[in-house]
Amino acid sequence: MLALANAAKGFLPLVIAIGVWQYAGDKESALFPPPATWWPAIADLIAADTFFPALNATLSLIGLSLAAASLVGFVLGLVIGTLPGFRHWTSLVLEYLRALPPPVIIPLAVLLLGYTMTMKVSVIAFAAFWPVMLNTIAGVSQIHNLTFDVARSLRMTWFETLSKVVLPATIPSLLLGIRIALPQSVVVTLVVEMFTGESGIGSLMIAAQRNFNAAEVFGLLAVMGLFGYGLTAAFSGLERAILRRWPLSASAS
Amino acid sequence: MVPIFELEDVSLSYELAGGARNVLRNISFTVSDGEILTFCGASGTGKTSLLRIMAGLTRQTGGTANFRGAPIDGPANDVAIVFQDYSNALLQWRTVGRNVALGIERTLKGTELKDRVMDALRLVGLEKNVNDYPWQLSGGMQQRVQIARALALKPSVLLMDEPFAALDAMTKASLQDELLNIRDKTGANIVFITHDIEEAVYLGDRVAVLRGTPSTVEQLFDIALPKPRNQITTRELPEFLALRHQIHDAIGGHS
Repeated sequence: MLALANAAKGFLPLVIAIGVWQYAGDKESALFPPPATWWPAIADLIAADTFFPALNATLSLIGLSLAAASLVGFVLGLVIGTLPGFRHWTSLVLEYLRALPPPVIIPLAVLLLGYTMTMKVSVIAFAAFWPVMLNTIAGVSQIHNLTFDVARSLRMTWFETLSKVVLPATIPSLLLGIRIALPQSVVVTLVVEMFTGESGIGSLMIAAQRNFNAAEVFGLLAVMGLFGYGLTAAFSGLERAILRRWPLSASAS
Repeated sequence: MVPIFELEDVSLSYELAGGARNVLRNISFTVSDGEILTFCGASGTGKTSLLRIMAGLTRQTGGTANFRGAPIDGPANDVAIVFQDYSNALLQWRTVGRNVALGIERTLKGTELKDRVMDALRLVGLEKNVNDYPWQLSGGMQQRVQIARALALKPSVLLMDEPFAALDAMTKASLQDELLNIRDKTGANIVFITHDIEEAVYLGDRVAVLRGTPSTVEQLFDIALPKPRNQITTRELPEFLALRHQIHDAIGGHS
């Protein structure tokens, strides 16, 4: 309850700003329509049966891409983290690829894969898997040598060491990586949708902008802001619930 | 009778960038059944390296090291190790009970596993903490968990690498007595490493002193103190004080 009250307090400046905008702003402004007009604009989209399919498409794309990014990032992180030689000769390539801003690979991805779901998921996952992979590598390297000695002295097999020591030891790092990857995948999802203009909230935004429908642009922006915040808050809650078994230091952000 | 451990002329050196680093040389000793052998030496005398060779975690670079008559070529089935650094030796995300089960859950299942875990926890007085996480416990309790995990294996030999070095004096004393009790109940052989001379004498049936770089067994002392040992009276015996003095000299300490 206290946490909820604190969160509400944190929203206060935003609420005040929107209130001031509503009551002091120009009611007829074409570029800064008062907040009361945003909801009717969204309601129009709902009535036209375009809003919920678009929201569904966007959230599914975020979910699918984040899942792909987490899986690929975790597996690659484990491989690179446990094989020191591998880490050595991949580090330069990784640094180079990581320096690429994710949206710039969209033209190449479209060229190779066309306007497909595979293309969208690949681009978003490419942006989101870095923090997962790098945090997993860091998590593996933080496992103390002594812990591996314990595994050896208990005569664990390679697979037992992986499943009983390495995997659980890296879970806090994995979750931290996903928490960082989540907002990035929201950003790149919207960019991809705007670029392709096919489906999703991003494509609705581009369409509204081209029609000079400012109320709809602001309305969609507010909706995405809410969902972005909600997703991050929900994931943090999940992370806390999972990390109850780990020492406090493991969940440091 | 075949000794538990038999080391002959064991040496250990590492190849480093700046040349070889010699850690151990000409180490020879045996551990016979039923005894507690303690190793004592200043820091940097390769005590841990020697224990790692006995544990099968490090391969000696010269000489022979046998366990029950066969060359050591890896961690053995009924040899359990207790490390000094309990916080990294325990899996912090597993409960106390599941940490103790770690070495036996592959072979035992169900109530058999549960009983063995509880028996081991009772030996160290932690049966009430079975569902706690290690990070919720004090250092002394965490070290007890590690000892319970070793005991759950029902080992014939316990190798202990300065297990009480990081604990306060009172916890250390009570764990020393618990260890002697456990030895009487389980009959396990114990090889115990410490840099604490009094601890070496108090626990040991024999004390081996390591000295030099590379180090070797400088001297072996028979500890003929009466049993059961007592934290107050044993430590007041003139024999105890004399041994303490001799071992101090053998280690090369200055007072």
